[in-house]
Amino acid sequence: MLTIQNLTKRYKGGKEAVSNLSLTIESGDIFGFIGHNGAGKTTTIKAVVGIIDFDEGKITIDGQSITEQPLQCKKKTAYIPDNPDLYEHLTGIQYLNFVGDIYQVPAKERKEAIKKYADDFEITSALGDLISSYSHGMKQKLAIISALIHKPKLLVLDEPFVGLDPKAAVILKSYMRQLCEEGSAIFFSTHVLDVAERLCNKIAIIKNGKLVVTGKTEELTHGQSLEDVFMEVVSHA
Amino acid sequence: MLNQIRKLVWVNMCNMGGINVARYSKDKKKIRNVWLMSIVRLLLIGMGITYFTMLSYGLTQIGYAQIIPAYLVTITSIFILVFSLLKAGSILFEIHTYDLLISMPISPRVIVASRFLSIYVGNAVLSLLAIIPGMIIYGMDQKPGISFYVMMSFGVFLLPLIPITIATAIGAIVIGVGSRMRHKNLAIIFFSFALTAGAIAFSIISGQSAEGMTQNDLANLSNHIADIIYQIYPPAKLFSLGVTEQNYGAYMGFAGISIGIFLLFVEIVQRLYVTICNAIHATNTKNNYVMQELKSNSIRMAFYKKEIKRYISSGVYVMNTAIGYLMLIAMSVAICFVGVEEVEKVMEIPHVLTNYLPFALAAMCCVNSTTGCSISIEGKQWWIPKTMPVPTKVILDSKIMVNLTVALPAIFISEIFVLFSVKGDLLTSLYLIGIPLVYSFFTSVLGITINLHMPMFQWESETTVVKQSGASFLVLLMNIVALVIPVVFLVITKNLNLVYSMTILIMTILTIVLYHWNNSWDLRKLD
Repeated sequence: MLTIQNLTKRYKGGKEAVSNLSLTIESGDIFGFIGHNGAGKTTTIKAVVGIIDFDEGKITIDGQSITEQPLQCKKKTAYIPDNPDLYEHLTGIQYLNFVGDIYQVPAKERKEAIKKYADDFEITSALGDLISSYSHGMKQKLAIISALIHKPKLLVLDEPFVGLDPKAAVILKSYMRQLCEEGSAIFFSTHVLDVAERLCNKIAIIKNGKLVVTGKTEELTHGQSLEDVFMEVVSHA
Repeated sequence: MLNQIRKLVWVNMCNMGGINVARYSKDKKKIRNVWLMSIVRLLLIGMGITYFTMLSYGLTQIGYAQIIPAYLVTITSIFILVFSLLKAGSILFEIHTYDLLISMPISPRVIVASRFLSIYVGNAVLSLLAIIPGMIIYGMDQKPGISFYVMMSFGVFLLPLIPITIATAIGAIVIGVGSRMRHKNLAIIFFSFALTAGAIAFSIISGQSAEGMTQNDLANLSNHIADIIYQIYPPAKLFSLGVTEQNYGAYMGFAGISIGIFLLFVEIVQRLYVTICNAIHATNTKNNYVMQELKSNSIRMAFYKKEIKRYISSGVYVMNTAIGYLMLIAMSVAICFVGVEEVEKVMEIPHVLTNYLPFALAAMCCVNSTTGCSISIEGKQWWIPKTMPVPTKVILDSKIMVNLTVALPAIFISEIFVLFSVKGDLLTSLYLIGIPLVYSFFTSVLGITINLHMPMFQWESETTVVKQSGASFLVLLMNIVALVIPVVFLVITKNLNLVYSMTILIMTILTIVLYHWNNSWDLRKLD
C-alpha cells in the first residue's frame, strides 16, 4: 500500500533530516514508526502525505507516486497530525461536512458515518460549536473523525494518542484494527512503546534520520519488551 | 517593571519586520523575503519622505514656512491616528501571547505598556522620517537657534503618543463593546468601519474649512491656516509655540499632555485588561447539537465557502481589505450627487477625475487585495489543503473568488452612480467599467503570485499577516506601479482611447499569464 524507497530529505542549510530511508507497508499492516525527538518521523510522514517535498527517493501509495500523481494518492489517504490545527472559524460539523465534500462522500453516508464516530467519541453535542472553543482532545477527536469518514486505504497518524482521554484512545485503537481488517493500512508514529508493541504487527525504529531496524513486532522483540529493544537498538546504532 | 517592559518590547521587536529571521534563519528564501520586505518598506518610506519634503518646500515657496512645524505635527498625527485605528485594538488584546504572559509573574500594566510601546516604536520612526525633512527646510528658511533643533528632536519622539493613545483607546472601546455582543466579530468590523470612515471624513472636512476663506482672510492667510490647524489638533499649537518661539511653557505642556495621556491610558486599561481579554476570547458553546441532514457541495463550492467564512471571521482582515471598495462606493455616490468638480476639490488633486476617472476608480480597487495575505493567513492550518486531493488551481481560485466577491458588487454599485452622472459615449462607458474590472482581476491574481513567493505561516497575530507582511506591502507597491505607468502615458500622449484600450489589453494579458503561473506551483514547496 505504501512504499518508501531511499527517501532523503535535506533541510535548508544542508542537514539531512531523513537519509536514504526505505519502508514497505502492506494492506492490513499497522505499522509503528518509532524514534526519539527530532529523529525524522514527522518529516517522513509529511513527505508521505504530500505536505513537504523531498530531495531523493520515491514514495508510492497503492502503486502511484505522491510526486507524479498526488491527487490520486491523496484520495486514498487520510492524515492526522500531531497537533490538530483545524479551521477554528468553522463549527465541528461544518469542518466534517467540508472534508466530506472534498472527498466526495455521499451526503447520507456522510451523515451516518459522522453520527457513528461522533457518538463513539462523545462529541456529537459539541459539533455545532466553533472549533476555536474545543479543547486539544476534542480537536484531536474531530481530526480522527474527519480522517475516518472517507474510509481511507492508508491512514497516516503522527502521535495520535497524545491528548486523547483513555476511552478515546481505546476507541481509536479499535477503529485502527477494524480498518486494517477491512484491508486498509496504517502508518503511525508514536513515543508510547507499550501501545506500539500491543497494536502494531510491524515496527520501524529510526535514529538521526536513518532507519535502524524494521520488521515484524514479534520477530524484533523475541520475548523482550519493545522498550528494551528500542533502548538497545538506539544506543548501539 | 521597566526592565520587564523593555524585555517584552524587545521580544515584540524581534518578531517585527523579520529581524530574527534575518539574523538566525538558515533558510535563504526566508532571509531573501525579509530583505525584499525591507526594500519595499524603504520604498514606501522614501515616497513618504518625498511627500513631506515637497509639502514643506511648497510652504516655504509661498512664504508660509512659519507654519511648517504645526502643519507637519498635525498631518503626522492624523496619519498615525488613522493607520493605528485599524490595528491598535487587535495588537493590545492579542490572545496568543496573552495566555503565556498572564501566567507569568508579569502585571497587566507591564503587558499593556509593552504592547502600547511596540505600536509606538514603529510610529516614532515614521514620525521622525516625516518631520526631519520639514525641519531641515524650515531651518534653512527661518534660521532658528539651536534650541529649535533640540526641542524638535525630543518632540518627534513625543509626537506619536497622543494619536496612538486615542487610536488605542478607541480600539479598546470598540473591542470591549463588540465583545459583549452576540456576533462580536461583525460588531467589531462594523464599529471599526464606522470609526475609520469618521476619521477620514473628519480630516477631509477639516481640510475643506480652508475653502471658505474670504478676501480679508487672504491678507493674513498663514495665520488663518495656523488657526485651522490648531482647531483640528490643539496640541500642535503648544508644540509650534514651543519650538518656533522658544516658549518653554508651551513645550512642556505638549510633553506633559503627551506623556500624561499615555500614563493615564495605561493605568485605566490595565485595570480592565484581564476582564476585556477574557470577554473577547470567551467562546460561546451551546453543546446541544443534534445530527441533521447534511448538504453536500462541489469541491470548488466547499473551498469557496470555507474561504468566505475565514474572511468574515477576521475583523482585521475585512477592515484592511474592504476599505478601498467602501471608498470606491463613497466616491461614486459623491460624484453622482455633488458632481465631479466638487469631489476633485475634496481630493485636492485638480482634474484627477475629469481626466483619469477610470484610473481613479481602479485605484480604489487596488488599495488592498484579500489575496495578498490569503495564503499566509492559513497559518498552522496550511497542512489541511496540502493533504487534500484538490488541485492547486481549486485552492487558489477559492482565494481569488473571495476578493472578487468583495470587489465585483462594489464595482457594480459604483458604476451605476458613475455612469448615471458621467455623460459619455459607449466607449467612455466601456472604459469606465473595463478599467476598474481588469485592475480588480489583476490585483486578485497578483496577490496570489506575491503571497506564493513570500508566504508567512508562523505568526501570532492576524495583524502581522494582514498589515505588516512583506507580501501585503509588495502587492500595494506593485498596484501603485501598475496604475502610475498608464497614467504617465496618458499625461504624455493625451490619447485617451489608445491608453485606455492598451491598458485593458496589457492588464488582461498580465493577469492571464500570472494566473497560469500561479496554478503551476507545487504547494509542497510552501512551508
